[in-house]
Amino acid sequence: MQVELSERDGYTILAVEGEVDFHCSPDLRKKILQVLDDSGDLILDMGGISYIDSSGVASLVEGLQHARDHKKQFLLANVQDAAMQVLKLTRLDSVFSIHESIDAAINA
Amino acid sequence: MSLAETMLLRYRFNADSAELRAMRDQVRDALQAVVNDAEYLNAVVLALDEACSNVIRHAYPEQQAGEIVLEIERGDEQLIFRVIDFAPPCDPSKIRSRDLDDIRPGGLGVHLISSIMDEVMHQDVKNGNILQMIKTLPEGER
Repeated sequence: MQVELSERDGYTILAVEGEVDFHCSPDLRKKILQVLDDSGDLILDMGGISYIDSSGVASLVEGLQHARDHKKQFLLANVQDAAMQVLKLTRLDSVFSIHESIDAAINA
Repeated sequence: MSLAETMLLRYRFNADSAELRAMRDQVRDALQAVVNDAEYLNAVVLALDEACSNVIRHAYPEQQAGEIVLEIERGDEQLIFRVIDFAPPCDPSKIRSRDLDDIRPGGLGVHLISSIMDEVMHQDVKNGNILQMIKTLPEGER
């Protein structure tokens, strides 16, 4: 798993690439919480995530809860089919704010 | 006519989270010749990953190295999966899905396995545990 940070229109964009599983999800969790603490609203660009398991999804839930607790936004963008399938199976697709693209997330 | 069950994969690996990626690649390679349905394949890979992650997390006592054997067989109309470990017996009543309306991190693996698979059976055997899972093949691929 690789991550890359960028800034745009007041949002921090965290782009994640690769497979997110039990081995690397603690790193993703740490990065999400760190960005939310250090910066402002966060868009997680999931366009490069080809696989995510329940521990990866748990990292996203923790990010969402942390953002809500600190009155920040935590948005998901570019969610690919395999990741969307997991969000649907866990019924979390209606819990997250999910957008087709970074532009759509910024303009939401 | 009934076809004999055909072993598609028998893969033995260390019960270590760093091994999960290679396990998933093995499963994809073994099933790509049998299943063309990407959604079905993704779901099966996910369920097996969750089952193996649970073994790594919960089955072996901390600091104790262990192994996992993953078997995949093809039956007439279904795939049969076995995740075999060599850890002390586990209490199946403790392996439960949780209420999804309670939005919190964690505890989703068992729910995913039972949602994806048609049958899930736990057996404790002499030297470990076997989690057997069965899923009907997609229509057109039976």
